[in-house]
Amino acid sequence: MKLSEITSDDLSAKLSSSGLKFFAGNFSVNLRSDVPAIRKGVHLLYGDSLLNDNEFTDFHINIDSSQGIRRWIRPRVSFSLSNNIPFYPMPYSHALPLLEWGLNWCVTNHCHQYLVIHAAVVEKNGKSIIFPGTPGSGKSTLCAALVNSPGWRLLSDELAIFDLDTNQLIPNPRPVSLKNQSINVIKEFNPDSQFSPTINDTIKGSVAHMKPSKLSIERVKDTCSPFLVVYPKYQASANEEFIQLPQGESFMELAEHSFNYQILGDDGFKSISKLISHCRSFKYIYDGNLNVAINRMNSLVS
Amino acid sequence: MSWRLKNTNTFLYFECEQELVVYNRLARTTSYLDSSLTIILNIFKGMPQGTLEIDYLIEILKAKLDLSIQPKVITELLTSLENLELIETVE
Repeated sequence: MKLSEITSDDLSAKLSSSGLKFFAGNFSVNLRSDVPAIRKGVHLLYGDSLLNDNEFTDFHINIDSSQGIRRWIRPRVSFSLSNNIPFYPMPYSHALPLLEWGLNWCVTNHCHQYLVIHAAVVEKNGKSIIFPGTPGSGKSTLCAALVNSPGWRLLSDELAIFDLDTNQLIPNPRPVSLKNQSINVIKEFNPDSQFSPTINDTIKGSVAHMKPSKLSIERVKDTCSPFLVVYPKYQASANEEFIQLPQGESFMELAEHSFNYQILGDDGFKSISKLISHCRSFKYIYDGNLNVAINRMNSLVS
Repeated sequence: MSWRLKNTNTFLYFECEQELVVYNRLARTTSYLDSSLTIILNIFKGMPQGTLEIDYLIEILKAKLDLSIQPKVITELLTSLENLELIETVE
């Protein structure tokens, strides 16, 4: 059963009592919250996700509003995982971004059966492209544009999850996080895309989340082999450049972008070795022209 | 002065076309060796128990690359490998 198929009353009841059990990407979550924006946001962004009717849950999460005087004066929300609060509370209006950032944190800090890389991952024709990137590189905008284009599906906009045993990329399709100008860029690129309300004045500026496609959610269990690594860099007014990167350089970049490479030790080194052995790596500079970028990516996987 | 390869069990290697990525399992550090360093390290790897002196290394490189490399340059490269804890001096 999909999350969108339960009634609003039922959704509210679950969130305020035993918890709403559903799949956020590849991981099962039991979510409790008294914040209306969470109920609305989850209903919109995770509407195509399946409810979890198993006993086991990966992450038990609460998004709670502050009590006492803070309920009225500069109200706050907090994120907790299994009743542990890892972050400082945030403004009440940041509840939905806090949920998304918290879910990312859960994976990067707990899922060490995988190598987790700060990267977007998309796939078309059975060929995946990993886009590692620092904030501002344009990887999320490029990722969002691609998954709004025919044939592409989203594996993740933020975390490339590489299975240490199977050498496969594990899909974790969740709402795509977009910031500042990128929000309107993607809304104009695909007016039919569904977005959460834009939240301003976050630590990352203005933030909104785009609902992932049905195709991406339906294929959440379809792993794929890594095919290409592309390091995007958005530079206004730049000429398009697409340059192959030596394997050694790409190795060091991927290690740098990995959340848990150091923790994994030998396994981390061996995983990146396997990944790089099977992929060519490129640096891609583009001026923000999404149609040009999409044509380039289409040519790589055709 | 001569050098030898440090305990090879300490390292994992990823061989690229002309470069090498080396992981030090004890120090948990990852190093990227360009082609010059890779050539020299591969010479050491070819004789894991042996020691190498600069003069002998110059001869091997001359045979391999058809180039005469100045001792000063070799010393710098050896020092880089030593700083990366891949080789050590032998008194």
